Amino acid sequence: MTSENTIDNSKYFIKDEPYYLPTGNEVEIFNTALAENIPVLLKGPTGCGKTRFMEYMSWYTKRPLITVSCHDDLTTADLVGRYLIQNDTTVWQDGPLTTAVRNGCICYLDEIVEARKDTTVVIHPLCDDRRILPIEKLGQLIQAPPDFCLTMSYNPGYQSAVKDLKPSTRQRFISIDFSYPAADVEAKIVNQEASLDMAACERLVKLAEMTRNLVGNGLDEGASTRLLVHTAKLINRGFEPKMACRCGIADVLTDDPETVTLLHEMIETLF
Amino acid sequence: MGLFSGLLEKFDQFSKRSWSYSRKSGSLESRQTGSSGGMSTNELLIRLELIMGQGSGLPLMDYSNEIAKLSHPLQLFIFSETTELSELSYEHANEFLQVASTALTEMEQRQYERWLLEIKQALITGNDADASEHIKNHSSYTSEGDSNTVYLSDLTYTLEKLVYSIHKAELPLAEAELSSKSPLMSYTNNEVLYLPTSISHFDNYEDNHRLYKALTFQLLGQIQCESADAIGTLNEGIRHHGEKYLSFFSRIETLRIDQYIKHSFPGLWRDIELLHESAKIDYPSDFFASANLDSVQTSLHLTATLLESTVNLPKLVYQSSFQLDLMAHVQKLTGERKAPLILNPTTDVDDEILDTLGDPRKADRGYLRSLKDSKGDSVLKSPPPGWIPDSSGGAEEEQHTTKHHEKGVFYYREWDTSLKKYRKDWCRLRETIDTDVVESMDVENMEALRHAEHRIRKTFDQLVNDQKFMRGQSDGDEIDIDAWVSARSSKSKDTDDYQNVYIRNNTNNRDVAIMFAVDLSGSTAGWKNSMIKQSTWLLCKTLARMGDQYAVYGFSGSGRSNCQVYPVKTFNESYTKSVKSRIFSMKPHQYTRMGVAIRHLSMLLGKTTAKTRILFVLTDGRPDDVDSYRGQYGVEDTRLALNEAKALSLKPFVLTFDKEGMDYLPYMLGSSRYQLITDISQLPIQISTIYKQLTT
Repeated sequence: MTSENTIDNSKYFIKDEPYYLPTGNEVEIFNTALAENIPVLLKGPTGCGKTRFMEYMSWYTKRPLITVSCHDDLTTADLVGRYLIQNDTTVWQDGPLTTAVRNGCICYLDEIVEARKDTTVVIHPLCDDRRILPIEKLGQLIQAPPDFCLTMSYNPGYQSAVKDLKPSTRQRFISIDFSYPAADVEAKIVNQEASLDMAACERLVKLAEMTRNLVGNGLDEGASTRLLVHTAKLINRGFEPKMACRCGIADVLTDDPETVTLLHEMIETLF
Repeated sequence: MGLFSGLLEKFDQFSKRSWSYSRKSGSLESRQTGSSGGMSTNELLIRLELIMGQGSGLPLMDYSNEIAKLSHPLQLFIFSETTELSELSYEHANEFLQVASTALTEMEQRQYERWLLEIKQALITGNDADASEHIKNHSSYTSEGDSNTVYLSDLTYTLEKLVYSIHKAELPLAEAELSSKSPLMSYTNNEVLYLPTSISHFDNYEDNHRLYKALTFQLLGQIQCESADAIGTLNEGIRHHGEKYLSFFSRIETLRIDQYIKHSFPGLWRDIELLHESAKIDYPSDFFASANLDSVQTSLHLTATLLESTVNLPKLVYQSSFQLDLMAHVQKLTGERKAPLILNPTTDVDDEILDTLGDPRKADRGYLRSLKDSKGDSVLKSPPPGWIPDSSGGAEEEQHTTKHHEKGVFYYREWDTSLKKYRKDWCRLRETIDTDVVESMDVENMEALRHAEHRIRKTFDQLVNDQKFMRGQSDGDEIDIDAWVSARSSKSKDTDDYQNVYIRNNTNNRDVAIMFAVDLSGSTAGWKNSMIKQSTWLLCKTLARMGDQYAVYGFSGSGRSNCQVYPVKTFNESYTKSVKSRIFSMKPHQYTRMGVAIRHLSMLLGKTTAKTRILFVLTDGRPDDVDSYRGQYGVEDTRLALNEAKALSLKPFVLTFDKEGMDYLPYMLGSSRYQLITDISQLPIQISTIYKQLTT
């Protein structure tokens, strides 16, 4: 078993404080999970601040953060590592998960359900009281140091019967639910991120709320806080608000002409 | 209307029976069908005689000949309008029939809807001569003169969804009752927003559009600002001061709602200010500053004060009406809904509802008793008495409120090629699980079947093995030693050879979902049905080893209100004995209304998240159903349904037994998305081969 440092940890530190406005007791829960060595599952719609929260917690706890964006071609080798050929010989290359374990980082697996089901099983021994990572090809068992923390995120809105977390995976985590922040908090976030005046931010949040009410009624998902920040930045750069909302929100959310017309009508009503 | 509806219903039933006969005999169909997919002349004549009376002396045969040239939906439209007109004026119904076919051919839908609206409006207000004039001048409605008119039907979807996005509950938009006094009459009962059928108040389209929006938000404002709380005081005020009281209150309440709009929807408020300019209204802006309109009580208080003063508030063009009877009635029902008093036998329903409402005058004890006598939800769905213009309207209302709550029932639109637009919620589709248990299968040629199974397994095994290990990859889980040795020994020393030295394990990397839609129309009876069942069975048995998601649904039906899909195996099920039983209980049913089935099954397939999603339709002929869903109409609707499936990133594929399939399949699907099977005994093997082609 080894726990030698294999990377320059400083590269993975978040040096400047990311802007994050807590909406509940998520910071306390996460800190407790870190202290108790319990992995964390972040659930929430796209653009609601899950990744930002992780950056913030990395900065807050002063631990390096390694993020893996999961996709359907992600294999166990992509996470754990593989042999590569270099100058007539083979060399072992750690994957991001192994790197995180060896160096006591926070490993953040973004959109975990996108990964192949056989891939997620590799994290099981890391997520219970054993906290070990078996590397079959090296014949090693790496004991995770106390600083190591595994965090995963997923969007329950995208789930279906065929793409879901296995109960055996799910039940190794504690869960923090991220829904969109309350209107006043969200307006404050947009205001802070885009430096747009508060009245315009409030109007953007109202538009977002209207789109979120339409989920299942023409829209798969409502406008996220991230979209609002993008739109606010466009407005702040001098774009006319209606135009900014069309480019930043309406045309992003859907391609269906009827729904686009409806979203444009909403914008006309609000701006 | 009721009598006519009954007769027409009977005629429909008779008509359906004749259709089923015609399908069996296979000979009457052509004689019974109109040249353009509509009803035949004889059928039309019988219907006209039912409406206008037999032996009326009218040239009904001539009318029938003319109407026969139209599409089926237009024919139905003529009958429904003639029936309505004949109830208002028999003579005008006859005048309408004289020009109907010519007029409807010339006009677009919204033009002829407006034409008929004005005819009916004239008849309702007793202007018979004007009505005749409107009928004669039908050609004037085809001109572009009405390009400034905005029609409710054009805005319904957008406005309803816009309201939903704010109110978080459905508030359907409906046409307000015709009023000769106020063509802009709009009102609400707190559950439905009633708006004018069309608005041509301003001489430009934009302002008329703005006016629709302003009216809608005023009605929404009435609900959100709880204007209905004032019903009791309003009734009292009207009793003492007459209609003037309601008129004052309406103006003040409109201003109060304006405040709400100005604060919450600045964009709309800008539109309303433009309306003020166009209508040359001197808007009392200073009124906001002086009056603190924060609740309906303050509006009532101000109404009482203004009645005594000389202040005159202008009537705003977007001012909506207050229908107190209607509001009170729905409030009664809403109160009932909130407190399930009927279920509590110890409670005096009448008294408690009266207490809830606060004003004994508002309650109708007789009606409450009838509520008490009725059971369950149906009470709540019943429209208020006196608010049902006619039986068909009532049926529509009921459909509107209940259709989305019926379990296993779905409503889908359908493309009407003659109107060039979708008919919203036109088809009613039900998922019906066949409960027949078939323990032993009826397999005629077991040896041939074993051979077919062997062939399919071989095809699928090849498919799996092909996919398993990919050698010579630039990236992978393992090192490909052979590739590396080959690169080392290669004389060319090509650097590319050294890059492709990995093996990628693609086990389970197939990400396929396939929906088998099997036509179970009557024409598949006999050996076709046996082959379909055997093929489906073999396919299900062998597909399990592939790890692909698959579902099998049969489809059939009779008429747009009785479309059926039969789940044989859903995506969430594995292949079990009950699935096998359902496969072998698949039997021929009625007709092939393909569009609605494709829309429904596309929706189900669209819910899966597989990379490759295939909609595989197995059919024996072209789209065909009883209510003229055939010919160009059926083909066009099916084509649109398949295009909608493509828009959902699904890959449709049609396998047909129909030798004439080449006449319409290329048009419906485009090239290489269909195949004709000439030897049906080869069906199982054909399906597996096509499956392989489609999924690799």
